[in-house]
Amino acid sequence: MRVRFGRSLAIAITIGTGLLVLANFFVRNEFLRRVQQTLLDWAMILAAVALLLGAVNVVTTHLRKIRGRRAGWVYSLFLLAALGTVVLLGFSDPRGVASPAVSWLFLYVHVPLQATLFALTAFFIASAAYRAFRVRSVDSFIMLVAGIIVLLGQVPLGQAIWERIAAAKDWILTYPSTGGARGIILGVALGTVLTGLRVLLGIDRPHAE
Amino acid sequence: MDSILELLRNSGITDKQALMFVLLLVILPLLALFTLQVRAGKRVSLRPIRAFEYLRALIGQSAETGKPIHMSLGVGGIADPSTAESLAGVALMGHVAEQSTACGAPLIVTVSDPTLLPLAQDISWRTWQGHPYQYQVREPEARMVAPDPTAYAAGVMDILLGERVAANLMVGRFGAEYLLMGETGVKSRVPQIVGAADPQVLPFVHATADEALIGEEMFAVGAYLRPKAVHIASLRAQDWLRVFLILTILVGVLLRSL
Repeated sequence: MRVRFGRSLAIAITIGTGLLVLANFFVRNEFLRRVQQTLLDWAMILAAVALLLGAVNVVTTHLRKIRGRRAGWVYSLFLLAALGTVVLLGFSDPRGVASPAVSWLFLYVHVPLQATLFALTAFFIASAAYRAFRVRSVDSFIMLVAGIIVLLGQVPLGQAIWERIAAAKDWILTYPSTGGARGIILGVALGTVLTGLRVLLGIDRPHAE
Repeated sequence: MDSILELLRNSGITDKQALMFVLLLVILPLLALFTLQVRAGKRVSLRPIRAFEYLRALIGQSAETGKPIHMSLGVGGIADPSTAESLAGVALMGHVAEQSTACGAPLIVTVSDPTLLPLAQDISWRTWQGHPYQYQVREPEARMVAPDPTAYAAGVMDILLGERVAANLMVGRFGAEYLLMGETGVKSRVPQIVGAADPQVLPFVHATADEALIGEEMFAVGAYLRPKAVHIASLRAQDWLRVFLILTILVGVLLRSL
C-alpha cells in the first residue's frame, strides 16, 4: 500500500513538474518563470547528488573487483589511487578543481590519455570501413560506389581520373546523403516529442513501473 | 502564410511556440483516438524489426552459457537534450532486466551520465525483487563507468574484453566514441544490437552492429516489447505524423517550383 502511494506520488510530481515547465513555454508569466527557475536549480542539485552516488558506485565496483582478485584488478587499484589523489589534491587547496596541482594533472595526464585513446579511432574507422564496404548485397554495392566517389572527389587523383568527380561528390553529399540524414532527424524528432508527451502524461513511467 | 506569421509576431507568439502548439493540437487527439481504437480491439500490424527478434535469442544464449549481457545506456542523461534517447535505452533495459532475471542470465548495465544511475539501479532492484526466487538469481548490476565519453568508452571496452560477455546491447545517445566500443565488440566476437539516433554515428553502427535500431526505431521499444495500447497508439500517431510531414514537404516543393 505504502509502495503504491509512493509510486503515485512520484507520477504526480513528474506530471505536475512537466506541465508547469510546458506551461512556461507557452505563457509568459513571472510566477511560472520563477517556479521553472527554482525547479531547474533543484535539478542541478539533484544532478550533483547523482554524481556523488556515481562516485560511490565506481569505488564499490572496483573495490569488489580488487577483493575478488578478478581479472585486471591491478588496474582497479590504479583507478582508486588516481581517484583518491585527485580528491585529496582538490580538497587540500581552497581553489578546489582550479588548483595548480589538479590543473596540472588534468592538462598533462588526463588530456594526453584521452587524446591517445581517441587516436585509436583512426585505425578503427579503417577496419570498420573495410567491413562496411565489402560487397555482400545491393546496399553494400551502392555504399561502396558512393564511398569511392566521395573519397576520390576530395583528392587531386580523382580529378585526374574524371574531371567531374568533384561535382558528383557534391551531388551525393547534398542530395541523397542530406536527404537521408534529414529523414532520420525528422523521425527522431517525432519520436522525441511523443516520448516526452508519454512521460509528461504519466503513460511511460520508467521511474515507477 | 506570411500574414499568419505577421499576426503571430504582433501578438507576441514566437514561431517555435506556435509550431509546438499546433503539433500538440494534432498529436494529442491522434494519440487519444488511436488508443481508444486499439483498446476496442483494432488489430495493428507492426512490421518486423529484426533487432527485437535477435534480442530474444541473445538473452537465451546468455542464460545457457551463464555469460553476462552488457547493456549500455549511452553517454546521455535525463536532464539534457538526450533525455528521449536515454529513456529509449531505459525502456529496453527494463525489458532485458525482466527477461534476463527470469531466465537467470546475468546483466551488467553501464551508464556515463550520473543522472541515469539511480534509474538503472532502481529498475535492477525492482526487477530482482519481483522475481519469485530472487536469492537464486543474480541481481542485475548497474555501474557508472565515467562521466567523460572517452573514459566511458575505455571502461566499456574493458568490460567487453575482460568480462567475457555473451552479448552487447547499446541503446541511447552516442558520439564519436561509439566506434571505440563497437569495434571492440566486433574484434572480441560479441553479438551486438545497437540503437542510435545521430546520423553521424549511424554509419559506424551499420559497420559494427549485428542488428541496429536506426533513429525512430529506438522509440518503438515499448510497442514491440511491452505492447500496451498506448504504446502502439503512439507508434501509429508517429507514422501518421510522418506521412503528414512528407505530404507537407511535397506540397511545399510543388508550390515553390510552380
